[in-house]
Amino acid sequence: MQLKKKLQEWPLHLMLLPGILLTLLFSYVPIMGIVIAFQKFSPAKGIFHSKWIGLDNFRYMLELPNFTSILWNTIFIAVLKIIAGMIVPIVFALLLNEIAGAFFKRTIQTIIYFPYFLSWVILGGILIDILSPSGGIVNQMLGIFGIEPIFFLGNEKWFPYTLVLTDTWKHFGYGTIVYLAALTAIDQSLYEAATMDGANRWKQTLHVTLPGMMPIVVLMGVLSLGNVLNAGFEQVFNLYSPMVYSTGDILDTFVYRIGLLDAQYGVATAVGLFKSVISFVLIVISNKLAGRYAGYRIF
Amino acid sequence: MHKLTLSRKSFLIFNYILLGLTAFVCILPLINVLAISFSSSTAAAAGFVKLLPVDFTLSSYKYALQKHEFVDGFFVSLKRVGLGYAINMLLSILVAYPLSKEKKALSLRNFYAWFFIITMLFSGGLIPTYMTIKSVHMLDTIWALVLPGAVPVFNVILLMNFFRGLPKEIEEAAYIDGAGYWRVLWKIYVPLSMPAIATITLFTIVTHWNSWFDGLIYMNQPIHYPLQSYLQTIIITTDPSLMSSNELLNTGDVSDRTYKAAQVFLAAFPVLLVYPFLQKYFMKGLVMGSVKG
Amino acid sequence: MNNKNKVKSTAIGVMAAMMMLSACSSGGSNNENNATDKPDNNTATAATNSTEPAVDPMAKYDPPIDITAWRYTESTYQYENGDTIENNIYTKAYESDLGIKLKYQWTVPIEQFDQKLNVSIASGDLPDIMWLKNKQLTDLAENDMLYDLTDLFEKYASPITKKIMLQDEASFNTAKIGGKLMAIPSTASAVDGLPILYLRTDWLNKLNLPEPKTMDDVIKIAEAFTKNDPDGNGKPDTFGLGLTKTFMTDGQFGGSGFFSGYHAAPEKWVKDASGQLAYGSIQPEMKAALQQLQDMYKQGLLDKEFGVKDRAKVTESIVSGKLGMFYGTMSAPLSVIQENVNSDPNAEWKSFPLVSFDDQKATPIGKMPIQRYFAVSKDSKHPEAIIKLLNFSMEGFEEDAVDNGFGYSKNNIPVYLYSLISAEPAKKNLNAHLNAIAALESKDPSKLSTEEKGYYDKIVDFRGGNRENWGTERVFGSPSSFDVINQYVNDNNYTFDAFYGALTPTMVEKLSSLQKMEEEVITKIIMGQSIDTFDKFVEDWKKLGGDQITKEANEWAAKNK
Repeated sequence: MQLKKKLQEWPLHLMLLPGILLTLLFSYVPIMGIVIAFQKFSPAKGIFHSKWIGLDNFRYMLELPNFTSILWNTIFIAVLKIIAGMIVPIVFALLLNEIAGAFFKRTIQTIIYFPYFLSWVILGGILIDILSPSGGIVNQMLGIFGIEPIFFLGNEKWFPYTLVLTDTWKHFGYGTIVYLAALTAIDQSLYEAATMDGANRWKQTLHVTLPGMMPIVVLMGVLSLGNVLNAGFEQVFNLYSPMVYSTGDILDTFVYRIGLLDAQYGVATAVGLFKSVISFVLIVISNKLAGRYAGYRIF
Repeated sequence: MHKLTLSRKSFLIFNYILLGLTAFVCILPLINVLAISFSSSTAAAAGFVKLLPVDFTLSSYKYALQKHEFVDGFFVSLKRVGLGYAINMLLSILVAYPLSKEKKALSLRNFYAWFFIITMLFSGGLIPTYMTIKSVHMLDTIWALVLPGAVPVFNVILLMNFFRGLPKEIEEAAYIDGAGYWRVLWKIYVPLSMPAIATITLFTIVTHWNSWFDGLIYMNQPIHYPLQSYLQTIIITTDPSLMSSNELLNTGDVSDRTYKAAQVFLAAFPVLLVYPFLQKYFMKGLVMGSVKG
Repeated sequence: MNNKNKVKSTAIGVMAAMMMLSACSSGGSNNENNATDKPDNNTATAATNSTEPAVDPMAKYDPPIDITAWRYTESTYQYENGDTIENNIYTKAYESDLGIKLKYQWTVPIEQFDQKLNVSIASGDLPDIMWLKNKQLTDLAENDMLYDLTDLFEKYASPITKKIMLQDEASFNTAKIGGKLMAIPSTASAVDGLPILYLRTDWLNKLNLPEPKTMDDVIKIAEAFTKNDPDGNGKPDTFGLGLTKTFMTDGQFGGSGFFSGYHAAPEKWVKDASGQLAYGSIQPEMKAALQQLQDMYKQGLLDKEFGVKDRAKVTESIVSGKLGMFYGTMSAPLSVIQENVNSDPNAEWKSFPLVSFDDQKATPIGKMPIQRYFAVSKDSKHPEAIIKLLNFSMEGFEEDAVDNGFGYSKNNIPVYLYSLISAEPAKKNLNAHLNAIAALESKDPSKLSTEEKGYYDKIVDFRGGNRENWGTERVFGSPSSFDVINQYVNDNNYTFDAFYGALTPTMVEKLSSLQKMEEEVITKIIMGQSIDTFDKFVEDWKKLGGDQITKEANEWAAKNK
């Protein structure tokens, strides 16, 4: 205790200083630009001379004829993606953990990480072929089981699930990395002790591996809540079509389309601010809850 | 070695098959892109190419490697990754370490933490960021690509949590030996956190390598574009309604599909290699082993 | 009230903070900037107001002056011999012939042009000469940031420049705001965008079908192409008419040509009987066309999956020999059909004028061809330079012009794309076709421009048996797409979108929602939803802002008569 006292705080502040200065300049100064959300912004007038219109941009957003459906689509797609994007990588990290052969394990790890590197523009073209109701490989496979061809990309009911599935497929390999890193931090002696107690692999997984991963799982869970209004612009934009607007149009594609007609930075910023505030609230709450119930606060 | 029980055996077989199939599904699109890149333009334009090249040719690769935009972009990207990685890594460590301390040790800890987390959620948007970068005269320089994201908050949080998981005893022993925060950080925390550092190394490299939008907006001259910014300009098919009739006449917009595939593959290849290289840091028991030793 | 003031004072605080920080860090980081030299804003306007008495439109600046500019580039631009967009035959000539040192503040690929344009405008610091789109032109002009070019154009424009620019006065006038010329429009060939019907004639012959004269013929052909196995592979894998998922607005694989067959014009503004502007998508003529498309879809004459396919995907169907008919623009033989001709030695296509479902002619409808404007900053010290640059580009269109390599290089690289200021005569490509045909008949290419000679050579090569140049023959030779355009022009049978102004306030606010609704309803009707939903759509469209938009469009029309 005495020794602890001697450690002064200032080296810690000093370590933070460069990061704080850069963040101030490149994040906090531009954050002030949020005022655009309250302006009828015109590039020619700039931030300092555009007209102030109070909450009109928010009102415009909320009064859009299909705002509720767009918001619902966004949340529905995003939440499913968050859930699948948590569970699938965890499961695969655990499955990979059971593989003894280092070569096989590394090869699989590397391969499942590939799809992350193909952009949606490229994948879009490939997916139209693979998911085609006439002759696409997926529907051919389903045909073996007597299932009628499904128009995954053109059917309103199926489209959101298609988005979630393909997104999970693209990202799960990359997502696995973080859990694999977490697995390395688990104390090996715990496994030895468990074996001594006669626990089989399944029990070890349940009582050693999972609790050991818990902090990182909670961390990823809390952080991913920040994405509850991010349904993935690139993906939706490259895959959607008028046929599936009713279930596939999300906040970001909507903002994109109004921007095409006329760069409405005011509305775009208002929508962005709306998303930020909701994410922020969710993250704060979940961080508190994680502290209370999982006994592990992240921040 | 223990003898495997039947259930264990069947699980392992199932596991191998499942992982093998999954990997197969994940590698298909890449093979498709690769096959297209080695095919004739007509076969590619007709959509005949699936998993094997049709009318095998190397001409797309010759074309891509001759294009000076491609080669220039490659070197800009290397520079960006090198510089960006150094800055991100240094700042991630320097920020994560103090934040991993309890409030007792660092009185403003919670304030600092939220100071960074807020930037992950709120942003002023494109115009204010552009104006800021312009006002510090960084447009058209590599700094515009590496400094605005100098503190990758997600990575900081990850590293901070990893630091917090390290046993306190080693650290305290070091203090008793007279070490200060700096020495403890570099001599104990960093070496013990190699799996976490390898993880964020990968994330940082991939992020910098894949970013394209900032390059297009903050660079004024095409020779300063990173590779992915340049690629973006060729992969996206221009909305023909934007083009004048003469420009339309100069577009052979299908024949270059093989070139695109070749360039997409060449651009992804280096970063695909990074992961296998880093995998040795994901070895089990690395952390505790070195603690005990 | 109080709140507003508060926000304002925050803004001032932000500005102060920004300046402070920028001062700090620019002192701290010593990277070379000054890549762009900023025009001296203080003295600019005063200097330019002094009028010189005698004017030589092409006088060289001595000493040379610096002109800054911004522009976009496209992925189709090609360079040789180490040329770049910053350094090429044009920039060199500007300096040696005009005494203008051109320096680009930035160049950007066209896809990011809008973004880069907006951020640059918002952060101030405009260059002398700017490429702009309609909306930014309006924005800048309304904020008095552009130089009024009315007088300068009068004074400096050469006769040939004036002749070309005023060929199509409606287009030219789009650059006028409040009666003042605020920019030079990049005029282009308006008739080039008119839709044409393309057909695989080898299939037509094989199935013993006549060339299409009416919409009925078109539908019969579509049916035969779908059901009678035109490719002879014994599989029902072909279909009749190609459409993209965005067929409402697309040129290639668009729907405009088909709708014109029913005298409908979706997503365009037309004049109704009383001379008022009306929105084409909500007119009753739409119904018959939609009903027909619905029937065709039901019978499998359209690709069942057209609703998810973009242009590249439909092109795939063409190249792989699954599709034998579509509506497209004049460039289709080069840009989408050529690969099919390369891969299938029997493939042959022909272009046809639009056909109608009744005894009235089908009239193709196009859009105003102006894609960009060239404007001058109010602070420019040499606002007249833009006219000199324009004159320089227009010289090549003189009757007796010598070819100095400003069009195409010896290797047939289109260098004219590097030009900072460019505009085209109203029927440039059509004339190229007519000239090439005349030269082919007389076997005398000596009067052709380099560009035209390039087409001529390729056509001769094709006629000598090289199918790689099939596309050039089918665009500029004969029979070709320009044969069809020429017919439209000779019959004076074409029209343009009647609204071509900047978006009106209600359009800005509502149009994106309305368009979404429209695309959704129309696609669904084609795919089988009851045609009655169209009536409800019309009602909704009007109610949700359409009526107001129509009113504003007509106010615009009244002002721009």
